Amino acid sequence: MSLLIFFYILRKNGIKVTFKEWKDLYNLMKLGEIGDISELYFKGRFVLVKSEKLYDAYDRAYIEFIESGGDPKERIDELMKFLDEDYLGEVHRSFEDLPLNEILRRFNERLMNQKEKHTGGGRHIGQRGYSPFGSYGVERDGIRVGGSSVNNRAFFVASERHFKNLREDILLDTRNISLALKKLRYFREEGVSEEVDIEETIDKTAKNFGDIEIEMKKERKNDLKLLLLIDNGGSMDPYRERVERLFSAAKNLRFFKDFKYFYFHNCIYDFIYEDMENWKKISTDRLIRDHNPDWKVIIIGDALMSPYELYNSYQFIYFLERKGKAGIDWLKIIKKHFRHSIWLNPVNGISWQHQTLKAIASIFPMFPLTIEGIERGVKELKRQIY
Amino acid sequence: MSYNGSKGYVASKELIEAVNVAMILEKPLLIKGEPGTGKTMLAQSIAEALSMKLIVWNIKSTTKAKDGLYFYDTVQRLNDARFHDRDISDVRQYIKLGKLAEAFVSEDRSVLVIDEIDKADIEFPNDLLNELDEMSFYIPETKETIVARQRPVVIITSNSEKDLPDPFLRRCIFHYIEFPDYDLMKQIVYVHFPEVHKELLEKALKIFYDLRKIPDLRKKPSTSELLDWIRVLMASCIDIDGISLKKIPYPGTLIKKEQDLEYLQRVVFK
Repeated sequence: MSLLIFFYILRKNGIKVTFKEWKDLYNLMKLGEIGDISELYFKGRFVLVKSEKLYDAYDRAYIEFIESGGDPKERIDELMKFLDEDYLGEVHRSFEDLPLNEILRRFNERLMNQKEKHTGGGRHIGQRGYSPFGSYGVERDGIRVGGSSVNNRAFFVASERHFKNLREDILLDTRNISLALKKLRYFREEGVSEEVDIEETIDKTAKNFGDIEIEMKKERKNDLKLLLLIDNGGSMDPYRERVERLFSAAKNLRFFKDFKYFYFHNCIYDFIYEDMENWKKISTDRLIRDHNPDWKVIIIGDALMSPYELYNSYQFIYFLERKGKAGIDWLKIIKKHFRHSIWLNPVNGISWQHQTLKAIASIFPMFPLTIEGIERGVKELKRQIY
Repeated sequence: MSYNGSKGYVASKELIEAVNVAMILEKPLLIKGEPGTGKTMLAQSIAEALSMKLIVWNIKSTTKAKDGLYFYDTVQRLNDARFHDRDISDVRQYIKLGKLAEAFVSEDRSVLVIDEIDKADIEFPNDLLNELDEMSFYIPETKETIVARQRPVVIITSNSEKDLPDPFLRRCIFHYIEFPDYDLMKQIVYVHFPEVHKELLEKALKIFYDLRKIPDLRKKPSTSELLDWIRVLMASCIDIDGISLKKIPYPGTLIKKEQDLEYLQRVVFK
C-alpha cells in the first residue's frame, strides 16, 4: 500500500497524476532505476509533474509522503517490498473485500471529515477518482454522489449540493478558454495575391491543353478585433481570478488583429476606464467613435446592482462618471453600435432572477462565465456576423 | 547507452538524469526554462556525447504538424510534366521529407530537437501525438508507411509562453531548468575560458547576479551575455579593482535593451 499513499497525497496536493504517468514511475522501478528515496524524488518528478508551477506542490506532497510513514528508512524498505506487487491490482483490491456496511460507515466518516470539495484521488469523496465514494469513478460497488454512474454499479445515490459546480471550476483553465475563444477566428481574404493556388492551377492548365497557367491565391488575413469591457466593481471581487484567466487567455492569443480592453464600475456610464488604478478614462462617446461596428465586444460583469444604478440618469455616488444618460441607455447605445456583442456573467444560479440582471440580459445575449458558456457565447458572436 | 554530459556543456545532475529517464522510457523529454539556460544546446550535447546525428526542427508560429512529416511538390511535378524534363511517373521524387521523417528514416539513431514548440498554434502538439507515439506515419500519395528504423531521442523545448495540452504533457518526461546558480555558473565559465583569472571571475559573477536581482530590467542578462562580457573583460586587461556594480565596463555587452541601459544609468550607475 505504501507507494499508493504517495499517489493519493500527490492528487490531494493538486498534482493530477494519471495512470499513464504512474505506470512510467512503476516501470522505472521495475527497471531498477529507483534505488533510494532521493531517486524517487527526482525521477518521480520527471514523470509525474509536468509544470514548474507544480514543483512546490510536489515538494509538499513528497514531504508529507515521507513523514506519513514515520522512519524514512523503514519507508524505503517498505517501498522495496512493494516493487514486487502489481500496482494496478492493488488499486482494484483496495476496497474490493469490504462489506457494504463497512463502506457505508467509511462514507459517513469521510463526509463528516471532508471540508473542501475534492476531485480525483482515492481517499475522499469527489468526482472521477477511484475511491468507492463519489461519482464518475471506476469502483464497482461504491456509493454514487450525484451525477450519473459510469458503470451503473453504484447502488446508492446520495446527493450533496456542493459537488454541482465542480466540473466548471476544473475546466476553466487558461488553455481551455483559449481553445473556446479560438473558435472566434475567421479569415477574410484581402490584400495582393501571392500564394499559388495549386488546385486552380492544375485545373486551368488541364483546360489549357497542358500549357501551364499559374493561378494565384490571395493571402488569408485575420480580421478579428476584440474589445473586452470588464466590470471591476467590488461585487466582482469573488470572480476576479476567473475574469483574469479569461483576460490572460484573450491577451495571449495571437490571432487578433487588434485587442483592447477597458474597465467600468458596476455599469457603463459617461466614462470608461483604460486603467482603473490611475483613473485614466475616456468618454464612452469616444469609445464608440474610436471603434467601428466591426469590433466584437465581450462585456464581463455580474449585472447586479440597485435598480437606480441602472435606470436613473444621474446619481450623486457616481457624479464624476455621469451627466446625462442612464446606464441602461448607454448599454443600449453600445449594443446598437457594435454588430456583435455578448455579455459573460460569472454569477451562478439564483442571481439570474435578479431584476437588473434580467434587464441587461434582455439587451445583450448573456452567458455564464464557464467554458460551456464561453463556447455558446462565441457561437453567438459568430452567428451575429452576417 | 547513457548520457553523462559532454565537453563544452555543463549539465546539472538532475538534467542528466532527466535525459536518461527519457531515453530509458523511450519518451520525449520536454525542457522548459528561461532563455539562456541552454535548452537548445542540450540536444547538441546529447548528440555529441552519444555520437548521434542532430536534427533540428525549428518551430514558428505558422508551423503545422504536417510540415515535420512530408511535403508533396505538385508544382514541380506539373512543371516537369509540361517540359518533359524528367520522368514524372515516379511520384516519390516529388515527396520531400520533413524533419520528423528525417529522424525516422535515419540509418542510425538520431537526436531530434523540436525547438520552441510553444511558438506554434495551440493545437500543434496534439497533432503530433500519434506520430510520436507510434513513431510512424502514412503517405497517401505513395501508399508508403514511414516507420522509424531507430527510435530517435526526442528533445522538445519550450519557453512556456503558452500552456501545452494535457494529453501531450502526459506523454512527455518533464524537466524545468533553473537558472544556473553561482557555483554552476562558475563551472560553465571555466568550460569556456579555462584560463580566466579567479578574481576576475568572482567579481564578474557577483556583479552579474546583482544585476539580475534588479527587478525592473526588461531583459535580465543571461549566460550568453555573461560569457561575452567576460571575454571582453579578459581581452581588455582591465583593472579588476575598479569594477563595481556602479562602474560596469562595457555595459552594452551585458544589457541588450536600450531602455534598460538608460534606466541603469539613471538609477544604479549615477
